[in-house]
Amino acid sequence: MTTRRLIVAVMTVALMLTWLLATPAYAAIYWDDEMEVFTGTGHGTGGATTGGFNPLPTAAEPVWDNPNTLSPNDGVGIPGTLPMTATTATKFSGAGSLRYNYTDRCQVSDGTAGLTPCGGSSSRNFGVYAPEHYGRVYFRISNNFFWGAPNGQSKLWGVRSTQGVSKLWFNFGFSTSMLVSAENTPATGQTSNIYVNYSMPREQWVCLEWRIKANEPPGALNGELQFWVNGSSTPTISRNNISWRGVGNNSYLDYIHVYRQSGGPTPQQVSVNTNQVANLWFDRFAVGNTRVGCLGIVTDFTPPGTPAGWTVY
Amino acid sequence: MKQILRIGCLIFSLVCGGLASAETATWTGNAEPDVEAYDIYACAGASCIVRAEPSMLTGTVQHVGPGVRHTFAIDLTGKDGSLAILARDTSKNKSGLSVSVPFDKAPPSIPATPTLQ
Repeated sequence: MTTRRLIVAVMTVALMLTWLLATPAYAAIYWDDEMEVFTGTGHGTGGATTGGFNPLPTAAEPVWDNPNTLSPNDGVGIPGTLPMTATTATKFSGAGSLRYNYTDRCQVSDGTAGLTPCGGSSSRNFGVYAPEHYGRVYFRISNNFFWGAPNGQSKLWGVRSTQGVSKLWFNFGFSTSMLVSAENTPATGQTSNIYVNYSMPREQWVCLEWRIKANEPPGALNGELQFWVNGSSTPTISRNNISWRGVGNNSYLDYIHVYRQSGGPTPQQVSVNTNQVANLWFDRFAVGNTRVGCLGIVTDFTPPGTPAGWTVY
Repeated sequence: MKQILRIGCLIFSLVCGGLASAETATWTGNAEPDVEAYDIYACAGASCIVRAEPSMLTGTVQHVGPGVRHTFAIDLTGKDGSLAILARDTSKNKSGLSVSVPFDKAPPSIPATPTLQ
């Protein structure tokens, strides 16, 4: 090879390397889950559950744990009522969704002795460990669901880290508003609440999207949060001054943690069950490094009338 | 002749007995243009609760047309409780539950063993 050819070859390789390194990562949806395949062992607070309350989902555990394997003893009062159910009866799309079940025993305690709070959770790993992610879920509340009366909060789902203490919850806050509650923010052991000006409707599928970007470096006031409802281009909340991670916390968020907590078919926990069950539903959880978007935005929220002439003979 | 009568009685009891155990629910089709189907719930107790549990869903009937008489047959033999219905539309909105119609097709329990005194 002549010197000239060698120079050309080296320059070509250098150009290719430069192009490859300069090319930004492609926008990608890591996964968009129909919430129909649940395998493995669920995570409960006690009873016959194995695996503990919060085992970390790994890349080798790429699908949801099976909520139907959760212990029926996780604070529910109606025998046989599971904390969560993989259901086909109500879904946004596909064949099924994930349903949380709340009996009276799951409501915020009124102090009555012997009543236990409810638990139950399931997880799915992003499959990607990065400082920024987008998420989306379709969410629905039953007509008879009450939560946190009068002052309580209830976790709905979380975004957590397999590598450290970063932990962020999407909750029902006071009244009917969404609340983003960041644990270990701005420092380990502390919690910061960020109120989202959005009250959940009932018996409607709503499309909720979020974006979270870690603050860099840890301790800096430059972490970001956006939250969108039903595909709006305007975020319901947009912040760029959050210290998600305190100094020394180098972890990124990398898994979804669905989590049943407080709530129920009555405003307050009662010692005798009414044999009613209130529900929340989740469908099409998705995560990626770009906005996932909403499918078939629903604009009709007017229910039909009750059928007339209902007769049984 | 007796044999014919016996066979006739047997057929009658089989047919009529079978029909007697099947209930028919009817209602009038909703007028909204986007109604998709009707969900029928069989609930324990005298009335279905505010939001019937999905596990109580006992059948679904597709909407045929506004004002059309819809029917749903259900065998309630040996059960008691109540039936209710709701309509849902293509946007997944659900109507309120109808009034609950109670039924009692469960036979009474066997009386306690009589005692002779």
